[in-house]
Amino acid sequence: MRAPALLLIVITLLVFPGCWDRYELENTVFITSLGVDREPGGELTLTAESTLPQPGGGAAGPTGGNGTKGPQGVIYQSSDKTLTAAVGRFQQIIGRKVFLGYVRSIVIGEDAAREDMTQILGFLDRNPLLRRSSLVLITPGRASLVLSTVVPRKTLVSEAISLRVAQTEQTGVSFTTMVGDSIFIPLATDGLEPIAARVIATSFPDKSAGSQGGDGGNTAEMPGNSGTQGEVAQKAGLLRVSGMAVFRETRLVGWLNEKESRGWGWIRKRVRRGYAVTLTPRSAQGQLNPVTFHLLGGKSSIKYSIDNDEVAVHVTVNVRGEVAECATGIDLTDPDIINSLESDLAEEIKSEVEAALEKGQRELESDIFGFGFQLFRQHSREWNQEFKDRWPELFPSVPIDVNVNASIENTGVVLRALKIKP
Amino acid sequence: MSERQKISQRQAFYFLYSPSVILFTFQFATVINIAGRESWVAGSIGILFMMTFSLWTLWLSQFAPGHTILEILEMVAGQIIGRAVGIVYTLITVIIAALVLRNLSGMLQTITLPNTPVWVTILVILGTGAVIAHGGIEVQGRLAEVLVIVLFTIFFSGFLLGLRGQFNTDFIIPVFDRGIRDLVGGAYFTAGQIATGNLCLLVMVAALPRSGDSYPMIAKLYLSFLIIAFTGTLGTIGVFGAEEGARMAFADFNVTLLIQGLEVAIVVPYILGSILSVAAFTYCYWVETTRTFNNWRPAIWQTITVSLAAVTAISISSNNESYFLSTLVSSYLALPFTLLVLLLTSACLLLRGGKAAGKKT
Repeated sequence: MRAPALLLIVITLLVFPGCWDRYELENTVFITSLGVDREPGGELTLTAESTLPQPGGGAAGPTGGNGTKGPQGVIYQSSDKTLTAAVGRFQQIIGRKVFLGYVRSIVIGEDAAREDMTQILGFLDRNPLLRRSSLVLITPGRASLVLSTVVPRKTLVSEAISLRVAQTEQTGVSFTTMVGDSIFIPLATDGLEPIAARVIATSFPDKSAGSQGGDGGNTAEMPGNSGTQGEVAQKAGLLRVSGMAVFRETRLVGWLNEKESRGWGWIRKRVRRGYAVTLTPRSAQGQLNPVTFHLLGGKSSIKYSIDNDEVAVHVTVNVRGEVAECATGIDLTDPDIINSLESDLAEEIKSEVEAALEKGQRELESDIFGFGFQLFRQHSREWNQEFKDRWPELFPSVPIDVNVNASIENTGVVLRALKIKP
Repeated sequence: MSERQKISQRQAFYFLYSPSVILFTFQFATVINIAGRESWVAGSIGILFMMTFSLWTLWLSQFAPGHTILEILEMVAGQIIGRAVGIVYTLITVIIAALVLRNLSGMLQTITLPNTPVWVTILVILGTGAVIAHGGIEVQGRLAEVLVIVLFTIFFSGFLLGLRGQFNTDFIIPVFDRGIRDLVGGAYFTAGQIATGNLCLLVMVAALPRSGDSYPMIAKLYLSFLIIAFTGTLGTIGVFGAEEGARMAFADFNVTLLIQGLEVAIVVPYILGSILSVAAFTYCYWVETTRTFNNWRPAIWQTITVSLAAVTAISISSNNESYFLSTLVSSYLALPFTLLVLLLTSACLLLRGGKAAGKKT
């Protein structure tokens, strides 16, 4: 018995030090963010933000390598027929093992998203190092521009994007979208379409910058020529997460602006915080004055009525808020005034939901709201028999009514309006 | 290894644990693919169905305490049938051990060791399993008693952490929207995966001091399998949805992959579970080979069978092929073979008026 055990120990000692999969940390480069663009010739350009591991662990800005030294990570770019091949080219350019396990955000350029994302998804799908919890964002313009932007705090782009996504979500005008939840699951699930946050890069030193598309943002000059291999010059600018990108299956079909995004968020129960402004005529002088509400979240429910194979959707949103700013002289202790403000707030939220429905359902014809999926959940038999196969054609003309109830829970630290002495 | 050792009920419980669930844990996505949202119901039905097989096995063992079911079969059905069934048993358990090895090495190759040849992992795990098996069932029982708790704790804490914040109840309901056929298919598939543990029980009963007292142990064992089935299938569906979850190569690993660094909580239990499973299967086919060849040069047969397991595992060309074979072997070999052995033994016992113990094997 001792002989086989001894033999096993010897074999194990020979094998487990990791002869085959050993790689040195100093010969490795960490990729923290990826950008994907499609070139006119059909090739895919992969832009990557890379950092080098530090002796004490973690990643830091570059201290060497072939790229430009800067406050951010080094930005590399390579083009090839597939993204895996493009990653392979990085190793040629960088001269280090490329490690994708720290990728936190994936930015996809508009052209690549509009043409067809299937090839990009094939790359994101199978690689065990790429997490489905990585953020996915679509940018109007080129993704390489987003990755090569040096933000004022000079943090890594991946970190800058993560922070902006998290903070923007607090305002309810865009939402965290992850590769798995927002792309793969909707693509595999009937009655649900993919959606992703929109990120816009703005370069402020360049006065000639113009609009980057959608409803906001500016473009900057494309760093490096498209389709080139190598490092990319970085440019000072701003990154802004705003609105959402709407897909029909694997193709980008349009954008939701901030108002429409929040409307989508109400239906999908994604709004946690935010602000809404209404105009109230209840000032002492009778003119319209803005009242700002701090939104405390809300709940929505989706119900269906089915009659003779015709389906109608009933959306109810219950919103909670508090008065955050009110410069009018109205008396907020009066229950009638509060009721009236609640109606105003409900109208405002309803307009957001209806704007989202107008864009998503009628204009872009994409069930990003998951009405089909919820119909399946509530009426699975009818869904399987009547609606499943016809849903993409039915959805744009399905009648949807929206009912919003708002409740104002408090008016801040004062009850009555400031009465300025005459 | 040569002398027949006895183990406690508790040790038997842990001994059976890994070989019963190891293939099933590799195949959560397949169950979801077959049964969709009701895969957790299908899995539960399959597990409860297999529990009746294990209770049946225990009942048969009482006719000749201290003997394996295959020995009892030989007592009542004659040497030719007994030996033939023994050889088939050996081959099936060798193949299952090979599949466990190949599934694990494929998983490690995909996730952590892409450049390490699979034969290296296979030989190291098989070698470790063989050394443990050589220590006898008592050593295995004691080892399993410790390791199963360790791997269970790591697996569940990692998996539940992975579910945190990712679980979406919208994906769970509705159930029973796919019809009875998919439900039965999922139940049968699960039963097949769990049947591998019952193959070990056919031999292990000989080590139970009083098999008649072991019914509660078997009931507890299968109830604990329900926890695995519930967590694995429901967790995967709740995180990815039934459609996306059905595509995963390593469903539970993909759940933990959502949180950086949590993968180890899946990899380590799989390695420990595979070692224990391979050890259990190796013990069982060694016991059976030794009996089949009348204890003639057991070391030679042990070497041959272990080598056969290694060659079989190495000859499986891909992880995908291994998955396909796992489905095939467990559903169309392990389960029917178990049923055949139990039916044959029961029928022969009935024909002989329930007398088996007095016969010399």
